[in-house]
Amino acid sequence: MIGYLVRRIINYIIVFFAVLVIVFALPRLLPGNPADYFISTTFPIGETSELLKAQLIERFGLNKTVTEQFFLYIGNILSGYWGVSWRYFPKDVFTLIMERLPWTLLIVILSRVISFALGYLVGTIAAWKRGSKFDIVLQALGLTSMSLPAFWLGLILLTIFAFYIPIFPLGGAITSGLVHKSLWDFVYDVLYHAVLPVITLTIVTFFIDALVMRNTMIEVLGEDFILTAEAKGLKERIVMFRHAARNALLPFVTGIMMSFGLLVTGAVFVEVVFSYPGIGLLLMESVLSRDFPTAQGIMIIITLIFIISNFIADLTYTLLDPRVRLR
Amino acid sequence: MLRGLATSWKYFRKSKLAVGGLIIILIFIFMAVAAPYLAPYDPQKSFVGPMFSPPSIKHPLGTDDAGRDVLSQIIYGSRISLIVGLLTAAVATLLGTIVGLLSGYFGGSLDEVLMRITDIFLTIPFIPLAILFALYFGPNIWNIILIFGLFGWPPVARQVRSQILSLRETLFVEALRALGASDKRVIFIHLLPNVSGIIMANVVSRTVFVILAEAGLAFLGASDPRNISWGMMIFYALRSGAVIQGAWWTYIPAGLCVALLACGFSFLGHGINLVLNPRLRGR
Repeated sequence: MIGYLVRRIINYIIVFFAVLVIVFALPRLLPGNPADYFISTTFPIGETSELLKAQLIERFGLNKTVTEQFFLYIGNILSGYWGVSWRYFPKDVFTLIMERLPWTLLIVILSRVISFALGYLVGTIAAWKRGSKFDIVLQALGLTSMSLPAFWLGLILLTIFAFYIPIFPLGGAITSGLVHKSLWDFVYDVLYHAVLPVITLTIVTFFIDALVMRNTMIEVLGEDFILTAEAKGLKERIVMFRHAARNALLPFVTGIMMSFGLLVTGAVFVEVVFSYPGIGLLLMESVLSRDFPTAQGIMIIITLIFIISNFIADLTYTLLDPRVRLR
Repeated sequence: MLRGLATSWKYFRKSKLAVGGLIIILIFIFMAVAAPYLAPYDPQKSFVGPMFSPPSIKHPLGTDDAGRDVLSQIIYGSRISLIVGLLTAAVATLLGTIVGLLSGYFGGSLDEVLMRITDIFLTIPFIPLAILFALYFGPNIWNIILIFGLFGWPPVARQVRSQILSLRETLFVEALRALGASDKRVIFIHLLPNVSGIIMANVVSRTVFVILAEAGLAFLGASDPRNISWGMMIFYALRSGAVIQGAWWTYIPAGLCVALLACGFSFLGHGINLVLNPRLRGR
């Protein structure tokens, strides 16, 4: 078990460095001075910007050899110095991302929890009633939902529930300019703004979650202990949820943890639709304003989220399944 | 061979979903090929009508913020989705098949190394990376095809490898080896046809993925401005405030086309899987 985890960790470290190498190499593969991609050429040249430029050249060693630059770069990334944003000049990229990240995590985690609970329930029932109309409709919807662009779905919801029937806000994460009287006011405001983005993300993942649960359940239902439970005369509901669903839970949980990272990239598009101020919107802003340091930073942070969620999946798998643990 | 195809078609035809998917794809291919004859206006030409005019007889899907005809843009947009989707899927599947074949057939340390690389590629977040590439190298359509192709192969490699692993142990491969067939011959003449079904299924599923990814990239503004694509139409619509203008016709039909085309390929893939995997056929 330890061996397996160590192998995974080594894999993740390689992934992280591979991404760092790509991010480091990109500006240097292009003609021109790599410094051009670190320091904004569009922003005002004042005393601060001159100072900052000197500081950036110094810290990233932009006047040294490529090898030296590479080691300086790795060191800087690991110590949290990710350069300076162009769009939000002269803000530090790491700080900027950390300010935006909680919003992304909020909608992703909320939708993950909802989708998990619903998918568990619906998947279990679909597997129990395999071949029924309910099951067939679920499969067809699953196939369709995988082909829906999340941003389009969001736009439809936005048009209906924020424009034609204005019960939800058109965008943002909190009402701007509003002073919240109490904590509850604040929480309410945040949730109110999160409803449409969370629903969009949930629709995208729910059917897939339900299908994963369904397929795992069907395998479990073929096992002998289910037959035993039924033969003992246990109630259908008890066999379904206590005996079968519980045993299908583990692969379901690992699958869901692994898709957490994917959902973060899904959130990128949804945030843009709802002008939700997470890292997805930030990524779009940086693409449009050619803010290279911020775009790089977001790539690194999303890689880290991928790695962490995959690792948690590995951990739950090894820790919760006694068959793996004892090996 | 022909008889095999005929039986396959018989099973494929039984699935309404699969046939429906095929029809959707054929309609879009027709649209892409016949675009100059079908489109009522030049899609790039501004002010062929008033700004944000709603659907009418003159402009069946209305006009956008620059007075361009939406229907014409939609018709031309099918070209980008199809070209990027199919070409990239072909590149990714080719790479994946090569890696999977080598890895599965030769095994040992080559397999170990190739699968490690595959694992790494699978964990790298693909969409942000593609956006980053587009930001640096410019959102040229060939760059996008290249990036998607270079990073889209790992799932294919895995599937082909596992198929080859089980084939490698079968008697017929052993018999071939005993007869003195070279590795090259075994792989290309005997194993490749046996995984052709999986390869086909992969081309289709990769196409779905790429159509959605391309639309997503364009939606974020990372697409080639010289070629109209559905994602780009939505990007422009959102930027010009179409939602608040109530101009749903500038973004809803374009997204619907992305969804329809992707669904078409998904359903087609479902049909191919039905043919490949008799257990799914139902009793």
